[in-house]
Amino acid sequence: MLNRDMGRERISLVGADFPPPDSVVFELGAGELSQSTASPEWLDRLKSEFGTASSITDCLPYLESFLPEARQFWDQTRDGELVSDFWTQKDPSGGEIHLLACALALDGKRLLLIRSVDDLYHKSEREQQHAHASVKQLKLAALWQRGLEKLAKSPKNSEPVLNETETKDVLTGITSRQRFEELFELELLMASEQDEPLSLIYLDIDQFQLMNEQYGSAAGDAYLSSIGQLVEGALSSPKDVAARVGGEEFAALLPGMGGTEAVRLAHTLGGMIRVLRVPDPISRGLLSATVSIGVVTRPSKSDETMAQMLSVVEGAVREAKRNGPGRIVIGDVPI
Amino acid sequence: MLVQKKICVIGEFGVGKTSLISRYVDSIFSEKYHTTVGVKIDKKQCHVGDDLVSLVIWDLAGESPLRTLKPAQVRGASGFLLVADGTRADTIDIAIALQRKVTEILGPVPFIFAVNKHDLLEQWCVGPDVADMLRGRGWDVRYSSAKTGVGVEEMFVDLASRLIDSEDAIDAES
Repeated sequence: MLNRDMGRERISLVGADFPPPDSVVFELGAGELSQSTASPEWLDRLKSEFGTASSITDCLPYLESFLPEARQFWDQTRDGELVSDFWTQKDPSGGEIHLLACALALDGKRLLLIRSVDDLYHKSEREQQHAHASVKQLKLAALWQRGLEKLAKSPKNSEPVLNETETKDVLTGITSRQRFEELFELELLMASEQDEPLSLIYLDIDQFQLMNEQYGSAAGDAYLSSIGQLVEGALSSPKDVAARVGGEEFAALLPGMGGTEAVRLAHTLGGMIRVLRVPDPISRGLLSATVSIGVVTRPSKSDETMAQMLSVVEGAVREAKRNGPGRIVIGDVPI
Repeated sequence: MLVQKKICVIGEFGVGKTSLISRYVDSIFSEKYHTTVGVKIDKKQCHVGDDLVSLVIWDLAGESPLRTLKPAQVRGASGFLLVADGTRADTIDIAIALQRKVTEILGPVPFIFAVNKHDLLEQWCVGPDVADMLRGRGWDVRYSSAKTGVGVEEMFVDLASRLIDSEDAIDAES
């Protein structure tokens, strides 16, 4: 039973000695909250900052968020209780007070009990810290696992290595595969948020290995570097991303761009690359090639993932290769 | 004139929300990780032109905020500070989703996106391209360090200033 006259002095009952209460009770009547018990010491400290004329929400701003919820509870419930989240605020001296509010419906009375909860708070704090540490460890373990899988899959002495710890591809200076995938995920989120389309162009240099064998890897590297710069230079929006995504594969990620525009850009890129002539640093001859191109567009209000879009665009590039050099194939986004 | 404004500080756990507030309000930084349980409310006054703004800063616990963010705790805020950790790419994704969620509750209020832990720049996995991309979307992206204080004071004062500007714009319209 709640005692209206409960004071702050120690209370003796049948020989036992109880500490002064650390809580305060308010009763809701005629739309207003009135204090039913004496103020605990922490409330006096808070009131001293605002003066006696202050409202309860001046002293306890968290109630602005809890009271609407409590009023709803009081309106709907016969008897019971609704407990708030913990909240922490500072007293005038800068000391922290951890509090918990409880809305009670008891024999037709609508009561709000607020108490300081240092012990409970610190217990929850420890539990939460353990939970956070576990999440961090799990994420770290997943990162290691992915790294090990990539290492196991990568052939030894393979084609030019992309520096996957960097955001830039070392050879071409444009975005690396790893960073491209991170940006791709971000752009998918943004596209969903903004209800915008997202297009992706994949370019694979035709007969690049032949060029490498015929002119040597220095010539191949020079050609790749020029293609990287050309693709990046052809993109007009600061949101667009040009990336080297494989040995002789490049990608253009185009946020906000629809299919028609993307296909037009693919044609432009294909044409620019066809007429590109790159000096071979050794023989001084001119290197040229064509590219097979795949294009995929995720329309607005759709939810294809990065893996789905990559699968479609890679399939389109394979089909373009089969049809002959310098072709463009538009991929269908899977349903 | 004294104007009181509620702002919320939102972001994934461990990104440094509480540390940013401590740096701004009390000019202190602790290396020890203190998780916030529930909500922590702080106050600080700053000058914006002729106005004295009393910022009531609600630090919302970063316990999986995408799932646990409570609209009641956000309501009434005039703006918010969105925080991510430059060393954790996932916190950027979460911040982007949180921005959407908070804007659904508050409408288009002013906000600043703080990519925090600038003192650990060598460990960052967030490049300037991400900031450029978000700025391209109209976001006010800042780099901050609660540890060194870089960017912190300016961020809160600029947000306060934008809250006043936004209030003035609403007054002018009405």
